[in-house]
Amino acid sequence: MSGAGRTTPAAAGGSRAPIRVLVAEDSPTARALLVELLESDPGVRVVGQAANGAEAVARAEELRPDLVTMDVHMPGMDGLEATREIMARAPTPIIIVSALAVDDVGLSLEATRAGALMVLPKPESPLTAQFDQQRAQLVAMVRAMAQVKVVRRWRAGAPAPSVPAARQTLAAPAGGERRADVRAALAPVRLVAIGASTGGPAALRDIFAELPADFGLPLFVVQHIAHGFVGGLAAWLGRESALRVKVAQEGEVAVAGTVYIAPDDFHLGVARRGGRDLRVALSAAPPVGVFRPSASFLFESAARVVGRELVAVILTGMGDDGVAGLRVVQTFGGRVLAQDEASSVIYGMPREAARAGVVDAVVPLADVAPRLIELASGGGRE
Amino acid sequence: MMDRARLAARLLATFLDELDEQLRALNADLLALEVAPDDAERLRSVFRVAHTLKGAARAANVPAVEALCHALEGMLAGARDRGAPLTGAQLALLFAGADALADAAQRLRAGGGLQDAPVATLLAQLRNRPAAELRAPSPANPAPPAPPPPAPPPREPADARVETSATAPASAPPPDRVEHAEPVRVGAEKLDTLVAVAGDVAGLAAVAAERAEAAEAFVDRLARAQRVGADDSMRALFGETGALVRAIREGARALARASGELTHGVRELRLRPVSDLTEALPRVVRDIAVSVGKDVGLALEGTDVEADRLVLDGLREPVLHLVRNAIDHGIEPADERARRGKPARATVTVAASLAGDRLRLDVRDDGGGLDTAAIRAAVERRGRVAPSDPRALAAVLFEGGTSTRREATTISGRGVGLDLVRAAAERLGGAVDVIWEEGRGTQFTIETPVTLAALRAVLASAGGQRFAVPTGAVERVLRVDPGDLRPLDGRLVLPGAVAGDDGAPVPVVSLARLLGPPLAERPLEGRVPALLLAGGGQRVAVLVDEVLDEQEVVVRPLERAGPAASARYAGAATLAGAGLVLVLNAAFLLAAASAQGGPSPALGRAAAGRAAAPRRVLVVDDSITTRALEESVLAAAGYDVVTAVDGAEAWRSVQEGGFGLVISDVEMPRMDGLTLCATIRGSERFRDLPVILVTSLDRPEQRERGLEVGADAYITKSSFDQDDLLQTVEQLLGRSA
Repeated sequence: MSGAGRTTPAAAGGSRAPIRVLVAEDSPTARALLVELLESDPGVRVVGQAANGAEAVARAEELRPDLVTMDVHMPGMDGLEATREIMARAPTPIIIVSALAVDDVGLSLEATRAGALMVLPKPESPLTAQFDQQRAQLVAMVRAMAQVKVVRRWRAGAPAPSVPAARQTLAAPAGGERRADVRAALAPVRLVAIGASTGGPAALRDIFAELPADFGLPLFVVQHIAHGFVGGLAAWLGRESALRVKVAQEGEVAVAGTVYIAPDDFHLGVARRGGRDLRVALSAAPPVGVFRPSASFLFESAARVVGRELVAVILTGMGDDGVAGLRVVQTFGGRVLAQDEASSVIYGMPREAARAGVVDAVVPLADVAPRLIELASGGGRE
Repeated sequence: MMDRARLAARLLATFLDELDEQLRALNADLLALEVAPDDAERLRSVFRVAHTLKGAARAANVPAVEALCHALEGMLAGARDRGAPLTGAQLALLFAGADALADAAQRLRAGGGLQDAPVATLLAQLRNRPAAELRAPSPANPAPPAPPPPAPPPREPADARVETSATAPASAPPPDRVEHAEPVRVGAEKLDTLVAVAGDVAGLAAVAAERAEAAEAFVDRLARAQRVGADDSMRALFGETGALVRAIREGARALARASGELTHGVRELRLRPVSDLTEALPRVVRDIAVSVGKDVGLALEGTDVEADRLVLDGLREPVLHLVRNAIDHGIEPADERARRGKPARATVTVAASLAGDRLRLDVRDDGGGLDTAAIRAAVERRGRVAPSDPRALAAVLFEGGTSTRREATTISGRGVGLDLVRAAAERLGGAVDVIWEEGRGTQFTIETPVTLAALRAVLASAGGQRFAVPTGAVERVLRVDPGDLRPLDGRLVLPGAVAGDDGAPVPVVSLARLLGPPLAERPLEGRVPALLLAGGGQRVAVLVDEVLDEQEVVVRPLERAGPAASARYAGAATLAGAGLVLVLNAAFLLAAASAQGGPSPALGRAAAGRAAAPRRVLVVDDSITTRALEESVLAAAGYDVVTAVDGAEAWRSVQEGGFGLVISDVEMPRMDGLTLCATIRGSERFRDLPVILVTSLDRPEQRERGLEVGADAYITKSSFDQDDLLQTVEQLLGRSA
């Protein structure tokens, strides 16, 4: 994967050394299952187990594993706190393994803000039908995430990685800037479409937290996330922002100041059936690549419906989902923002988009919300 | 590819252990909440338990438990988010939940299903309750997670899947559940196996030490022999042998040390805090107190004292019983307490302490004390004389017998099951006692060893005594026909075909003979029971008088046992109602059987190594005819015979050592038999060496002189009779051994 290739040169050679994993989980039963699943792959070895957060931090410092799987609800120090500590003391790729309850998902997503890479569901009993699929997903994600080079997060620091102002201007290519400004002056904006993958929830949270309740546009979001988590994601984002955040429902009218997140197993698209109202259009069309929902589907659908009245934002994540859709956005005259490398957990999708020449501006995460506000109000003035 | 079914079975087993552990925590939390319903820490802890169990049940595929935990969790989340204390009804449901889960654990362990189990009925009950009662909506904003963002705005429920929900609890657990690293979980059977192995190693170490000693003694003898006449190369060889033996001895010592550490370490592994035993008590005390309508508090002391898991397991029931009795019978009704000026809330105390290597558990109450009059009346009604000493009277309470119990129940109210308490304590090698003060309270005390080992053992008798042999070492029980025994390399063996397979011949030893005096070996009659032992690639048939039983015994190490006893015995075990038996070390039996020698041809004589020296006999006579006659009779009976032609030569031979007996003529040139006998008696080294004088019938004064100089026996030459000779020799050798 492109993101991985950049961050960890060693990974490119496909080194044979097994991935050393630390499993933090307070339930012996759940722990036994996780260990078994992980070790079913000869390329993965569980080198340590921890029954609470404090142990997880100590083991991580001591064993320096390639990856940590982290439960959230644990006695003593919980998974969120442990993630913060590990990211401060011994930065390690962390996958949060969480139950699907809204509570747990919120806490898990909070942990992604503290530096955890992603959230996966707790594996189910080996007697269930989805067992093998879950196992495959877990192992694949562990393999991918173990390659990610994570950076130290200072314990006392603000949760959002705020980038210095000087860097913001450096990060944006001058030409792109001008072009976007010109367009902003030319056309009103009707819709924001956002595509994100690994690192996306924390990035979305940071964007939405800065948008006012009366933000003038609806926001459509495709976030790659493990099956079952989208409800919790919406709840969490809603709590963290003044916007209304919901899982998109087929046919509903898109309202300004509301975030519509693609549900599990459906593509999120945009429809306009007469009048000016934009509506949610869910689609069961085949996955794009391996993704459904796919960012490319959203971008293309939005571009075809609102044309140049669209702002598309491509955020952190592995792979290149969204790039194909952004070409269509460009064709129809919409504007494209891409998150910059420094603020991306994984600079994969934004980089592919920039390489493909379909980006108008590369901006740090902290600049996305101001830029959206600017575009929305600019559109409103016209 | 992994075996899913096996993984699922393993997860279920893990889950059941986890369930037990979580239930203890849950009960502790609930009891605390009952006292302080607004303890937010405890509430969070209960919530986490329900949450964790839900997840674990899902992983282990126990949907009924998962569903119940989910329902409980939902109820708790409501209370937690409101920051409201649990209502009495909610607490009752949670207690019922804890009980239902415990019941589910039991059913699942027994391999049963949960269709009509309390978990299912309780779940139905929970689901039928009005939602408001279980999860009241929160008017206030939930506490924000750390770091606190600006106060969240009121949210509108936009989507059914986005529930009004809690923020994360600021997770700090209740103080009693924090910060102790989770112990490694080891199955009890694995630990028992390890204990057994440690025992075997200890036995082998002791055997090695014995062999090193024997080798050393052998080298000493060699060294003495070489003084007589050896060339330089022989001397060098002796030197090397000596060094080798010292190395063996060093090795044996190191092995003994390591084995000691291993044994100690393994025993340590089995140590658990007394809190394992007392954990369930708060809940029990609460439930009993509620059921009998008394106000009773429980005080626990010394729960961090550690003892063998087996001891704690064995004490669980007795302690529970004593606590029950204390509340039920010991604590007076409220009005009586008030009359006595006692606090309304009675206290039952369970206190653990260590006294040396003994664990002491006191179960105290501040109730009315024993009712001696009632006990006395009960005893007398049984037609017995009631002891006047109150302590002796109290001891009656511990006596067994159903009738005793029934009467004690109705009359004194304190004898209920106390015989069982005593039996349990005794099985652990412990004892019970009771003291009380009229109107002030009663204290029962159980004292047991701190560590134990349990194993299954075959009980057998030999030489009139009972022994236990670890069942693991016993391959089969045989009945040996003495006619099947065959001599092989100087010992008796049972042909493999007779031993029940076509393998190698199996050496046969007699247990009574192997262990030696004071055990008397029975004459072999008919088919003799034997234990076929196997281990370390060796097998041996050990003849016993009788094979009695096979049962689990709790083995206690022998204290202050010498090395010989440590080699032979793994420890001692108390059998229910049958006193003490020694537990034989299987490694010792196997090693002894494989040692050189073995039982004498008559199977009735000195065994193995012991026989080597005593069975050498020195025959002294100036007559070559007499010498030849005696030599042939003795050699035919299996003795090793050396001859000398007069007293002087005999004395030289005696000093070289190794003889068990001297048979000497009286009249001989150079040194006569009387002088030889006197010389032997006068020497410090050989004064106990048995001497038989062969006298002439017509010289009675020789007999008197012989006895004067210390001869052990005499044989009349003219009435020479070989049976007489052999009998005398055997008698004397047996005695000196």
